[in-house]
Amino acid sequence: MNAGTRTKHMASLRRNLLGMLTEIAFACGLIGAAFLVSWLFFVGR
Amino acid sequence: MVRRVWREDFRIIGYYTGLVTIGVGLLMLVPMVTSLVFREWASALDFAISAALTLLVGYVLALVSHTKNTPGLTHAMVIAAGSWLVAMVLSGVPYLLSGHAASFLDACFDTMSGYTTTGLFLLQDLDHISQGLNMWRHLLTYVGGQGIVVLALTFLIGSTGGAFKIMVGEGKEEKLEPNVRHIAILIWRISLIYLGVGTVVLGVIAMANGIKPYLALFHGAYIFMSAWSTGGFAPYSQNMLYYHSSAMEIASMVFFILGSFNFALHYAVWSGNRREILRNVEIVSFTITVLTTFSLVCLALMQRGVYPNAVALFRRGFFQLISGHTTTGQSNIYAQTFVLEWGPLGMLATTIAMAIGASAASTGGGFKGLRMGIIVKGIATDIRKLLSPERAVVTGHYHHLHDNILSDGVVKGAAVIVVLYVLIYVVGAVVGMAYGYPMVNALFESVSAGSNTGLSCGITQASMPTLLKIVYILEMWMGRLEFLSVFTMFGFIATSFRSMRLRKVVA
Repeated sequence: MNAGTRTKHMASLRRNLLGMLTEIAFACGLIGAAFLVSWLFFVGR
Repeated sequence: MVRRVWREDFRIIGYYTGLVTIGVGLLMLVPMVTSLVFREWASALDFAISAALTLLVGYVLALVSHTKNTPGLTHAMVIAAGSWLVAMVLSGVPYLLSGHAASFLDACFDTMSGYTTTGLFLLQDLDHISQGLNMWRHLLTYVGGQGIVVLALTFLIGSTGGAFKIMVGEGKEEKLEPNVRHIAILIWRISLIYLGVGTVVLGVIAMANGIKPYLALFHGAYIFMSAWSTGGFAPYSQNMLYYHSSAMEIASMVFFILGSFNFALHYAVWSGNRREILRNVEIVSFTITVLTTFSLVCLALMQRGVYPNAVALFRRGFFQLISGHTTTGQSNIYAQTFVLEWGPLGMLATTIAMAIGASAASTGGGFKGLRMGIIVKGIATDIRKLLSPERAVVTGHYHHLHDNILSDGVVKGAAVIVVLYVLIYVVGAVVGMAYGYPMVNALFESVSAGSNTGLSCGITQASMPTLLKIVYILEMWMGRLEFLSVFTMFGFIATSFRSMRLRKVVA
């Protein structure tokens, strides 16, 4: 594997990892929003 | 005009179905090895017999009908629908041999539930089944989520001509790459990377909860496969309740939310288009419907005073709701809790969430967020047209990977599929009501089966009426394949009979 291919490979890996983290962050955000909804229901009763 | 059916049509269908069957037979070697590792000799023998039988059937089918012709659209649809039926029957053999299935119909119910990532089960004494059988249940769900045809495409079907059509027949119509084999490999790559991450995360949590290290890893893998494939199975009959762990529940929630995403969205986000996750019509629609239906659940549970604080309401209420909405079916309450504590409003909100379901071309079921988004946008566009001056040209748009124009054909196509889903939900509910189950319960269970969710309010058990089992099997099958391939298969069978009659008349 030459330097160019290795750089390309690393860039692809970084993109994949960032993509995975973005997806996980979105799922955590949705779960957080749902917690906020349940908390608001209790505060507002 | 419908074309005639010739012998070559049967050969093409038989050959490709045979290849998929060989794939299923090879898959049985995984639980066999698991049984050997755990020294479960009887279970290993069950899988050896089942694998031999399945490989034999697949090999004979492929040999007898060997052809070099590639499938057309009709063949592809029939292969997709037929392969799932053949796989259901042959995959049920280990269940029957284990002695945990009361009948072969119950075994078929469980395998169809597994392949379609539904999660309803009729197996008896689930807490004492072998590790091999547990692996088989979860593997079915994992492979079913990606699509059994996708599996066969990756490893067995070398030619790509017509292969994409078979994938479309299986409900995976997003063309991520020009080469269909690359699409299948891409789907597997994303799933396997998450499998590694998920198994470690869930395994560590299981270990922290006191499960022995080697067993914790298996539990991690099982729960991940069930979550990622939006399947809903768990190694024990109490499902997620067994673990009594909020960390396990949150980690599982993250994985089944991710599993409910369209594979095209995964591909876009992993390729660097990270903003797509906030712009995609499916995700926007999913977020809105999740928060709306969860608000309804909160309202129902607050009215009845079921949970004492916000944390309990979130932990039980949201887990069940999001499990239903992503069509996963994992549960951290008992089935009867829906009826006894959640009440009609709570059950109805969960039913709506299940009916809508996950994303298109994902591991999930239901109408799909894409269709919901398209229909809502279509209605909004029609209202805008009515409010605009007569000469004004009003066009609707929706964002799915790129900006698309909302044509009448797209809206009509989405509406037809939604109507078909509603139809199977209603038919299942009516059959349930005919057997004396209350309407809300019958609708809940029917939508759960038809949308491939797997949450149960207590109707699904080995003692339920045989006809209801068959109706739920059909609902799971049709719901998973999104009707088109199933209807094409029925049409193909009818045309075959007509062609045979015509040939007799001519002779």
